Parts: sequence; structure tokens; C-alpha cells
Amino acid sequence: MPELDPVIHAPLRLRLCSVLSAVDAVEFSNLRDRLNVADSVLSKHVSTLVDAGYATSRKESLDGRRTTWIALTRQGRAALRKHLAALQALIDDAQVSAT
Amino acid sequence: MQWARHRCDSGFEVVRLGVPVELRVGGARRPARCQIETWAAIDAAGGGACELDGQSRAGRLTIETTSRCYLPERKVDVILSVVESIGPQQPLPRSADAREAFHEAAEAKRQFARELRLPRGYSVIAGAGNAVFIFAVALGNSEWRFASLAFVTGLVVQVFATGIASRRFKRLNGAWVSGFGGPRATWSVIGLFAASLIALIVASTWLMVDSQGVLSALVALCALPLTTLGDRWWMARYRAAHA
Repeated sequence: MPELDPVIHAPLRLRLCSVLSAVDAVEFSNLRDRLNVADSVLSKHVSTLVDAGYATSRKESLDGRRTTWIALTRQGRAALRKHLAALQALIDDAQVSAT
Repeated sequence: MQWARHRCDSGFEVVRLGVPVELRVGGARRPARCQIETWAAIDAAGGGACELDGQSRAGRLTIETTSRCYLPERKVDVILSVVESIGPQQPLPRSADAREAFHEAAEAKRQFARELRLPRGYSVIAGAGNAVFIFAVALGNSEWRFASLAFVTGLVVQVFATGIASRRFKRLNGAWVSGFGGPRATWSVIGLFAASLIALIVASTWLMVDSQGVLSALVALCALPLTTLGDRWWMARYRAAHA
């Protein structure tokens, strides 16, 4: 049975990883608006993911302004898949025990 | 938003996905009954009847109720996101929490994929780049003296057009998804699109060698509608894969 990943486990980080998994990279401000959190909070969560090797952060110039782009690494995608599988297993177990 | 309340030695803990939050009312910890009433009021108002102010103390978040007023959902989210960022160690979720987390993650992804849009003129710009490249390759194959020059010119134009199109996509969506970065469901579209471009290159070259320059250019121009069709099909497959 797959185990829950403590890095992805926090609800906001799970949503963050989930959004990142749908694309190659997302701009920091776009992520902040979508997840409805403060800059500092998102920055902290992104740092946690980067430190774990699950995400990368790079600066880019777009229309003359500096933007930060966040992307999931291959390792991050694999960890997310495992974490979601673990959550699914928890849900399935609960359904089995309920019946 | 789902809230769960647990009784513990220090009073009541408000738990969302296993994150403990200490609740204080008016600056001082109140008896459990008062806390129950406060949270009952929040629940009754469909998400909030009290303004909450969160701050971290000794690695533990304290939420203080300051006044009775409308509490927007976004404030709760911000406060909870602070809670989640306090410590790396979090208790494991129960099955109900797991279900909620799973659905929240899936919904966030689905909504993000659904809102991705192709900017106006994206396919036209990319298609024009492809058409120029196809015609340049055909021209180079028919006239070997200019082969290198034609190929490089066509390639530069195509890369430039692709660059403009991708910048417009990034500016509109605040995100980037390359063809191969999408789900596997989109790979068939990419394969078919690549095969079609190769077919156009072959046809255009054959016509150019046969001294039918106008027809060759017209065949190269077919890359325009082909790119538009391919882009739309790709986007449809992408959204369906995340639905």
C-alpha cells in the first residue's frame, strides 16, 4: 500500500502540486490568486517543495517584468502520484469497512 | 468547507485535515462552551460570523475572534494556509479528510485545465511559421544552391513565430504547457500533426521540384488550417483528460 508523502500532505501543498501537475510551469502570481493565499505563504510552501526536490523555481522576464515560474520536477510528479494513490487507498478502505 | 471539532485536554481543537488550531476568544482562552457557540455561529452563517485573526505563537496558531462580522472564505483560506505552513509534521488524515483532500486536489487541477485558453491569433501565428518553414524546405530541396540558406531562414521564422505564440499563451494564462508536457491523451494529436506536417513538406517539395511553385506555396499554406485544427483538437483532448 502506498504511503502518504509528508511533504505533499499539507492541504495547500497538495492543491499546489495538483495544479502544477496539469501544466509545465505556472507563474507565481497566478498560483497565488488561484490558491487564494498570501505571497509569503505560497513562497514558503514552494520553498518546501523545492527543498524536497519536488519543484523548481526560476525567474523569467515577460513583457519587461520579472516573473517567477514554478514547475513540478519528475520526482515531484511521481511523489504526487504516490500520494494520491495513498489517499485513494484510504478512501477505499473506509468504503470497504463501511459496507 | 468541512470543519471537525475534537475535544482534548486543553479544550476544543478545530481540525481541518488534521491541522490543530487553538481557539481563543477576545484574547483569552474561553471555556469550551463559548468556543462551541463561536464555531456554531460560524457554521450557521455558512462559513463565518466572526472575524478571525491568526498568528503564530510558539509554533502553534492561535485564532482570535475580534468582532462579529462577515468572514469571507478567502480569509479562512489564508489563515489555514498559515497554519499548514507552520510545521512540517502533520498528523495523518482520516478517511473523511482523505476524501476531501483528494477531491479538492482533483477539482483544483480540473478547474485550472478548464480555464486554459488559446490566445487570439495563436494558431495563425504558429501556422504561418509552419507554412514558411515548409515552403523554405521545399525551395531548398529544389534548388540545392540555396538549400542551407532557405532551411535556416525557414527555421528562424518558425522559431520566431513559435516564440511569439508561446509568449502570448503565457501572458494570457500565466502558465505554460508544451505539447509533450500534456497528458498522454494528447500525444496522438501531436503524432498525427507531425505526420501531417511531414506529408505537407513532401508534397510541397515534390511540386516545387516539378516547377509548380504556386501550387507548392498553396500546399505549404495548408499548414495554417492544419495548425488551427491541431491546436483546437489538442486543447479539447487536454481538457477531456483532466475532466
